[in-house]
Amino acid sequence: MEERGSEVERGPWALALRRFLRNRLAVAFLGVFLLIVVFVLAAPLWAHHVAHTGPNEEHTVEQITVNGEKRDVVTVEGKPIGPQWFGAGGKFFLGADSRLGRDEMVRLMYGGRTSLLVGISAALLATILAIVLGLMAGYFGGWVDSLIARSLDVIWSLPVFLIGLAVGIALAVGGLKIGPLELSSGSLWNPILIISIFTVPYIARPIRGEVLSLSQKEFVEAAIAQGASPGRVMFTEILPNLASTVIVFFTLMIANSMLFEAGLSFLGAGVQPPNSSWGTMITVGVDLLRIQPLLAILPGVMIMLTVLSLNIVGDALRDALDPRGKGRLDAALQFEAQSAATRPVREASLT
Amino acid sequence: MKKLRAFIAVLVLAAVAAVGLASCGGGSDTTSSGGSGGGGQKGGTLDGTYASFPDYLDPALSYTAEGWTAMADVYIPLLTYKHANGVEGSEVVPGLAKELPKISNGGKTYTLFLRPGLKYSDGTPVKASDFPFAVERMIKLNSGGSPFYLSIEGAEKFAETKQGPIPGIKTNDKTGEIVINLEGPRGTFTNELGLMFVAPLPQDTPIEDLSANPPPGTGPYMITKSQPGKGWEYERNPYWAKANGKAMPEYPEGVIDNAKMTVIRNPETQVEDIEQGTYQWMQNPPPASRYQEVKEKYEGTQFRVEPTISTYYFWMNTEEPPFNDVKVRQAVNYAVDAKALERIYAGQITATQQILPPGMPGYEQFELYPHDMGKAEELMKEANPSDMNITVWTDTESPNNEAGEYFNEVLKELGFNTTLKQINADNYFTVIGNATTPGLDAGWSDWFQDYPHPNDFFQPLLAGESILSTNNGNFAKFDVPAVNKQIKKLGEEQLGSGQEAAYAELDKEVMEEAPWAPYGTRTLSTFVSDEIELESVIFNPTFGHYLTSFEFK
Repeated sequence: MEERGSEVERGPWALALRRFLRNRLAVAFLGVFLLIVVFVLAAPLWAHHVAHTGPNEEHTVEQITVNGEKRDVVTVEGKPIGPQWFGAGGKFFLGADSRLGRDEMVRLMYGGRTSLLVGISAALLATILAIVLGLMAGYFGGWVDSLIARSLDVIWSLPVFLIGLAVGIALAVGGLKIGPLELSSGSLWNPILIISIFTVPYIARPIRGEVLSLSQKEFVEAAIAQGASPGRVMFTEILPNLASTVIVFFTLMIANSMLFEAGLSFLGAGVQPPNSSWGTMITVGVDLLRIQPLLAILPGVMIMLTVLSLNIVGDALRDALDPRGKGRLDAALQFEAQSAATRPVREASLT
Repeated sequence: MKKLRAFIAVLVLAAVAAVGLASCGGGSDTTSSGGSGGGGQKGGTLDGTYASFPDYLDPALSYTAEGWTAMADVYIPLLTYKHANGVEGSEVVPGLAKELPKISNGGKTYTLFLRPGLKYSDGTPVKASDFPFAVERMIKLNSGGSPFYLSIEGAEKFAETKQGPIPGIKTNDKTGEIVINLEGPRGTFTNELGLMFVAPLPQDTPIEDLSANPPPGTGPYMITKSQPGKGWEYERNPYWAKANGKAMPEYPEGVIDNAKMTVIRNPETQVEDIEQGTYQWMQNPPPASRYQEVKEKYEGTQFRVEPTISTYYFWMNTEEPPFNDVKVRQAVNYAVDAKALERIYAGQITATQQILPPGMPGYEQFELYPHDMGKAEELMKEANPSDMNITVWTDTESPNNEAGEYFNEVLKELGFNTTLKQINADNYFTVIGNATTPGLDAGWSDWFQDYPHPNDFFQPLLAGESILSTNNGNFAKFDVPAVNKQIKKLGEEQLGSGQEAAYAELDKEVMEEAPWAPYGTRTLSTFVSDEIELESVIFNPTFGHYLTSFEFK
């Protein structure tokens, strides 16, 4: 009774936090995610104080001393050195990444920064766009709703990965110039824009649905009756009520965007060399899979751990913020249905 | 698709590794002429693979090793190169012409006679007048090969106006006589008549890139299907046995009946496919990561090292800042470490620092720019270029992509702000050979001899007249009047010891201007499955592997 009483006194956010903390798996994976963030943020420290090299610095013809013995970073036959752990004082801790002799550990850390940056930025941009579109479509209804909803349908109906790949390759060659907007070919904004534009519908549609429902609520009608402008109603009355949905989707979209980025970069349409991301590192590693399998497996493990932790945290947030989970479930089902619909097209077209 | 599969495989491996962690709390250089090795089976379908689709599957346009290998036994020029390995394969022999040209009028007139009774693969008779048509078509298409033929009387004007005919070519369809008059003598013209740029084509062939629907040819095989980017197929030319084979009995008829080429962009996969017998031949060498292993395991049985006469180099655009300053270009030459590139190419390249490669007449070894970062930085300080923002180009094929990344990093070390662009190998040369492509500052390239004459390394690549708006091969846009004059003068003379010495001097002169930073000469390879007779496979220094030389054991 006492506990129940104290719960009643807590606000909805405190209650959500309490529910989230009860989910031990989610808390553990939140810890994993935070560790990954710390790992990638520590990249300059490791590069400067331990590895003594930058992520793109090449050491093809250099030698290092490992336990008192001189070794080629890349052999004359073109084989990069394997993991040295602390045998060379932390240099080439995970070995060299390729025949260019770059430090794999440093690139893994910097690559993680790129992957997270692209993932978070793309998810943030997609979420902001989705909120604006979802609010307008759901609140105004009529032709505005039709226009936005059909546009989202069009984007949704496209084979996202293939279009992303084509646009990514085009931007990688010529960059982008639309009026004052100019992006160079190697800019990180290119994958960020591609990913965010193609993932907007996944968030905008459920938000629109929720706005449609919220627009019928008494507090919205009351605000309108008091003469509040549409902008004020949308952003001060409806938007705060979307917070839980937005937070959950934002978390999941980071994971989704990271996977998208990894795929695009793997196929040469995302992050451009010599910059590293976990996706580009897998591309480089695949070439050496037989002689240095860790080069491809490590970035793969990092992607998997990050995506898994974000998905588990996202699910736990959904449970905590929306215990009934209906909205999330509907959206997830829509998302899955869409993914299943586009999958065969990707397979067929890439063959 | 292969890449996607590999990507999924890596993710699955990663997942398995992570679950595991969670639960516990990861040559021989044959110089003999090949031909049918003997004892092999007749017929069969050869399944081959290329790492990239050729630049074009149109004889007038293709100017890459991939394209020439793909079409060597499909489009036969008036003259051709002997079906043989090594030096013997550099010999010019009659193709559709009865014999080698009669050269008269002080080296300005070439007279040839077409063999009688020749037919294209669609049954159309081959006529002498098809030759000028092929020359005109090639020039109209702005082919990268057109500079070779601009010395024909009236060809230069034709190139400007695209209005024909070219007065320097006279033909007689009845007698099969072809008379070519040149503006001046040209010592390389016999070699150039052996290139497929000017292989005769039916006169109703459209004046457009026909890579998706290659035109009829005269060789023992014809291309029956082409899917740009994916692959193409061959069948026997039905008119070979009936007509052409009888008219040119010395030309190999081929052993296999059909061939299918598939583009597999991952050379690792290509190697595995050859090992498993899924494919029987790969056109490109094994990837650097597998090269030594394949060599050790299969040399002499399925693998052979093929020396080439080639130069791998980084070009710098001499027309635009910052590379319009010779000191900057020299600084780059000092900064590039050919030894590093030897490792990047996993020992498949031998370091050189000059235009002419070893094995080419006129080659005399020198080293103007021994690797010296200090000297490079000094020259950069002296030059003090104002424009430090540059774009660096390379293709996506390993290890050329890594060579491009290496070059990019070298330029960064010299203080440039670089943007690296990696272009799909299928259209890399088309992109960087197009004058409208923005940011053509510096990049990677290679050059394999078209024919065994040093002029071939100067005229198409470093002569001012070779700077074209499309299909350009002079990526450095190098246009020095004194060098142009010398290239032209030497090109007019027949090759002798005096000319060889002059080419050696020219090599040094050009490298003092440093339009390129050359870094090596390449060895390629033949790698076939255990079903193929390795001994019979011919690797020609001009055309690469001949389709007619493959046979099943």
